[in-house]
Amino acid sequence: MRPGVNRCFKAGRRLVLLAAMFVAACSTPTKQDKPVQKGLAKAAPVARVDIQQDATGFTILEDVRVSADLRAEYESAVRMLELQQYEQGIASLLKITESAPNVTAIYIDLGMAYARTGDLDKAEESLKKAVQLNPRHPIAYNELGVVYRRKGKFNEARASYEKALELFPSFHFAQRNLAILCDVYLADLGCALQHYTAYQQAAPDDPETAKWLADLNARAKR
Amino acid sequence: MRPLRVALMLSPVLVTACAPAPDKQTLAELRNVPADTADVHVDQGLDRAMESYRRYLEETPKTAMTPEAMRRLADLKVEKQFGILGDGKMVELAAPEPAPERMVLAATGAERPKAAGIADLSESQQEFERRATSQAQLASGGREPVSVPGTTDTQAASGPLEAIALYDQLLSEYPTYEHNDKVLYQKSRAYDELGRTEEAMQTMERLIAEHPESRYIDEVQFRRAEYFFTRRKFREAEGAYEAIIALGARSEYYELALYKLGWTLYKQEFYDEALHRYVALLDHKVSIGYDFDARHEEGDERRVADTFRVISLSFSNLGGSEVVGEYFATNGSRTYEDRIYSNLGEFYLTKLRYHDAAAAYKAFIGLYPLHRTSPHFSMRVVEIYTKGGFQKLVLDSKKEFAKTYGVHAEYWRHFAIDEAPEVLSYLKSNLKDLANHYHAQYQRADLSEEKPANYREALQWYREFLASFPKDADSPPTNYQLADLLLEEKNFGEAAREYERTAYDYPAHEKAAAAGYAAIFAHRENLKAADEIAQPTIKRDTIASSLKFADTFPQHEHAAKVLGAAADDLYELKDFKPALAAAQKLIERYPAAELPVLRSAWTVAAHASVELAEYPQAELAYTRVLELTPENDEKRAALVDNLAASIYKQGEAANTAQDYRTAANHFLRIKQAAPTSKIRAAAEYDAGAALIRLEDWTAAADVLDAFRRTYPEHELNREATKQIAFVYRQSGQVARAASEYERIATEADKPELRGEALLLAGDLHEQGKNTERALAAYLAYVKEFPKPLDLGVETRFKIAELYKNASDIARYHEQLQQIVSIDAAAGAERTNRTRTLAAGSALVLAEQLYAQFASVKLMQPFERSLQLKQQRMDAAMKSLSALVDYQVGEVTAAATFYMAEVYYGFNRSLVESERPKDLQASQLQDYELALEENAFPFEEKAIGVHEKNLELIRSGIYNEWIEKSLAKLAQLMPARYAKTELSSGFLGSLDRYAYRTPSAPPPEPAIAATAGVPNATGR
Repeated sequence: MRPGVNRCFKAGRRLVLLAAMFVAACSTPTKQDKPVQKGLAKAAPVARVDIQQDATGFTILEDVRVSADLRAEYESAVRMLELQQYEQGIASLLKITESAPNVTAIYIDLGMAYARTGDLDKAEESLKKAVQLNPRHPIAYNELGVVYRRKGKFNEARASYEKALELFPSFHFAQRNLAILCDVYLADLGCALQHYTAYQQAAPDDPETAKWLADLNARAKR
Repeated sequence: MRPLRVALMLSPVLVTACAPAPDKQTLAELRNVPADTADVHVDQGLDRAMESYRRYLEETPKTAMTPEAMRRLADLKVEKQFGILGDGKMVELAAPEPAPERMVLAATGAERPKAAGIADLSESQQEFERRATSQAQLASGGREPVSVPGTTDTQAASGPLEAIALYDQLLSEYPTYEHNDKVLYQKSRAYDELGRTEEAMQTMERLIAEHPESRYIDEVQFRRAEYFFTRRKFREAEGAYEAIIALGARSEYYELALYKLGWTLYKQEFYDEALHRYVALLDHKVSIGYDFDARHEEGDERRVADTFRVISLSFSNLGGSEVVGEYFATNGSRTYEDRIYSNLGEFYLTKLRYHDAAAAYKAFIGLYPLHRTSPHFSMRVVEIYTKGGFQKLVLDSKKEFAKTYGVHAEYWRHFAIDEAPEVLSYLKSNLKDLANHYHAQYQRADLSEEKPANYREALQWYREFLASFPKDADSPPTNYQLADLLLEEKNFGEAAREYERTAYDYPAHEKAAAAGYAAIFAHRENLKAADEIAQPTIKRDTIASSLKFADTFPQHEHAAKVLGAAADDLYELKDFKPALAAAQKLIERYPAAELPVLRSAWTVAAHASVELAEYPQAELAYTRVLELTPENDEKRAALVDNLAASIYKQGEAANTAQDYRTAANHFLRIKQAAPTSKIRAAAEYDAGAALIRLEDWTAAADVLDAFRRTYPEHELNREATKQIAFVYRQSGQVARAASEYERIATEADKPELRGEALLLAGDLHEQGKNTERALAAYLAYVKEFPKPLDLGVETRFKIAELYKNASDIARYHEQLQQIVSIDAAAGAERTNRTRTLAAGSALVLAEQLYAQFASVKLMQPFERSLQLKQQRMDAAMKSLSALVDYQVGEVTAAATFYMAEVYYGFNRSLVESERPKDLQASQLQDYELALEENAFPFEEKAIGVHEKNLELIRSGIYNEWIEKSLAKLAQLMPARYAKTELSSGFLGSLDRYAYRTPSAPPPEPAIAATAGVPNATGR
């Protein structure tokens, strides 16, 4: 639903632009028209996100122009989160969003932090903001899938995982998480089998996978 | 005598000097005679001339000149004796002076119209006849012989006699002498002078017979005629006069002959014949351009006047004015007929024959209604009747005049009205006379029977006057009189209209204001007499008149009162705007008006302002009214109430405009402005309400609390309490609010109000953490209000929570049990909410049974404790199974979880039970094996039941109990259920994130340097 809304928003913005051009084309330019055109031109989105990918992985680049101090603050916040000092870490990140409201990474980190504190509503909200800022971020979708699952929104969870895999099919986190969803919660054994298998291929070093597959196969035979 | 003589002496010289007469030429011919006449003095000239002729006749042989000299000598002798030169000219006698009252002036004082040609009637008829018929005086006759100084009587007679002898000699000696007619003429005159009339007549007759063509014929005939006339020989006179008339107008005696012939016939009572002559005379005058209206020679004028007079006499003798008409009908009409009639009229008037006089005038008017003089005649008729004192006829004739010569009459389609100012003026006074007369008659008490007729007449003539002279200076007072008349007749409406016309439709005049005031009086009288249907219209007329009066005559002594009354009436008619305007005008214009008038005006202004929703204005006005009203006046209370209401309305308006502060201020103002008003209490309450809307909780609470204390018995008292409670609640003063609700509950006269108040009180106490009082309120509620059931259950749930929080477990469970019971027995009143609350309550109770079950450990002696455990297990399971029936997802999941736990708990109890102490090692081994065998199915059952909970997911249910079951399963079957999702971990970079699949080959060194996958393998 969200992406849909997103598309509408973008389409809307384009329409406004078209309309502005149309106005410029058909009406005698006046002094009042010019600033309007300028304003709209300034409002046009810049290509600030770039994704490079190949069979082995992907790299997401985002054009973030913030001060060095802010970067330092961010790094400090992440350290706190890693030390499970979630309250301070979250507060710090929220403060950073006030100066840098459109940076995807901050919302993904915030979402993860909230999820770890059990505040699933805020986690969902932050991650949705993240996919809104960058709809091609597999990490965001994977984390959002976990939050949905925890909230009992199993269908949304499945869709979110699938979105991540659509962006990068070998994304092993999403493969594993989707397989567990299908296995434990949805009792969709076929789905579980498919994604455990894919997970095993992507992350062959996980020793549990083989056992889970064996149990699954056994159950499937019953 | 001397001047006369001198004049006579002079005349021959004058004649000699300039006369072109043939006689004088003849005389001039004698100049060649050496008679020294040229140088003689005048008074000696006659004698010298005679001497000269005598010498000539004596000394000269008879020639053709002899008869001429004889005649001249004879003529001179006659001349010397009588001082006449026989040219026969008539010498007119001086007319008597005109009488002072020649014209009769009209009673109105208007100038009597001119009637030129009216004979002087001051002279008696006898005198007139004597004078008019006396012998016409000829130049040579009628006078005493002039005595010449120095002569004796005998000498005096000798000259004429000598002359006669000379004439006779001449006639006999020269019978063919060409001037014998003159000789005869002179001879007759000489006889005449000598008084020998008969001989003179004979001589004249000889002249007529012998010289019919003589130039002396007419004079001679006239002398004869006069001779006969004076001797009453009318037949002979007629002949002589007619002989002159036959000569035609060329004769100098023509007019005189006609005139005297008329008289001759008149004397014989041949009036018709006489008239013919007089008319002929007048016709002649007209034919020679005589203008009757112009001034003429005195004698001429007199003769014309006399002619008219004798015509009047003639017609009078013939029968009067009727005959005049017949006469001219027969003989053709004349331009001067009007003079005939007017002379006749005036003639009759001198005889005091008023009716005949009037009839003469009227006859003419009848014949010639469109004659220029007819209006004047009509006026004269009125005058004649007035002179005669014929009141009725005067009136009738005045009316007749007014009708015939009214401004809009037919007459004026033929004549320019502006050119007849005297007629107009007369018409004006006439109309006024008529109107005033009838008005006066109308007012006479003794003529009550004629009152209606007199009224109509007066009305008609007043109206006629006003219609005819709308712009006359007399019109306003006349209009006023008309209005008075209408008022006297009690025709008030019309009277009012006429007074208004008088007051407003003319240029300013002195009675205007009085008329304006009278108009209002008339309107008001009209109003008194009118029926209900007519009342409103009349009232409006009254008002309009009053307003106009006040505006037009603002200085009138009653202007303020009139304006005030109009304002009152307008208010009564609900014409509030105009009423207000009138009242305000009064207030502004007459600040010094009498107190009652001012007070009334302020009252109207106040009431009208209220009606117009102009409340600030109303407030001001009521304040003024109260200032002007004595303290002990019984109306005060109502006025105070009105004042309060007008303030209150301002508050209401502010409320509507959502300006609550202003509204509150207005409401509170009433306390000071109108402390005794009835509305004061309600206003204070409303002030509180406005402050509540304003969310000024403190002020609202103060105001309402004051209200409650000031008016403990007021019907809004309970409402005030509610509002206060609300205020406290809104302002966060929950404890005070709760107390207020408790008060409401206590005071409530309706159960639902009490129930509601109790719940609010409980809720507020709960918010205020006053558990005790909250419980008291709730418990009171559930006790008193078992219905509605759901609200009771809900309240019990709150009670339960309070007990739970207070750790009063017994009472907590008791309430839960109550909830379960009530819900179970609810039947049709059961709701989802009661079911849910009951399910939750039952779950708590079931948890207690589970806890009791879980608390039992299997101890030795085993059988006894096992029995207890089984009993509790059954109880718990029964209770848990029942929970499923509620069909509340969460409760079902909880029940499922607990049932699984009961099984697992029983499994663990068995496994962990106290072993008998007296068993051998092998026995113990067997015992434990047996225990495990018995316990294992309970574990299987536990897993199965927990997995049942997972199946709820497929029904769309997911909650903590399912999660708990899953957690248990993860313990019991970790290979299947202990599976956790992986997170990629915090990103750690704002602008770059790189992921590599774990199965991917090692990255290029350049990438590896930056690609961090720190959490790639999970937590």
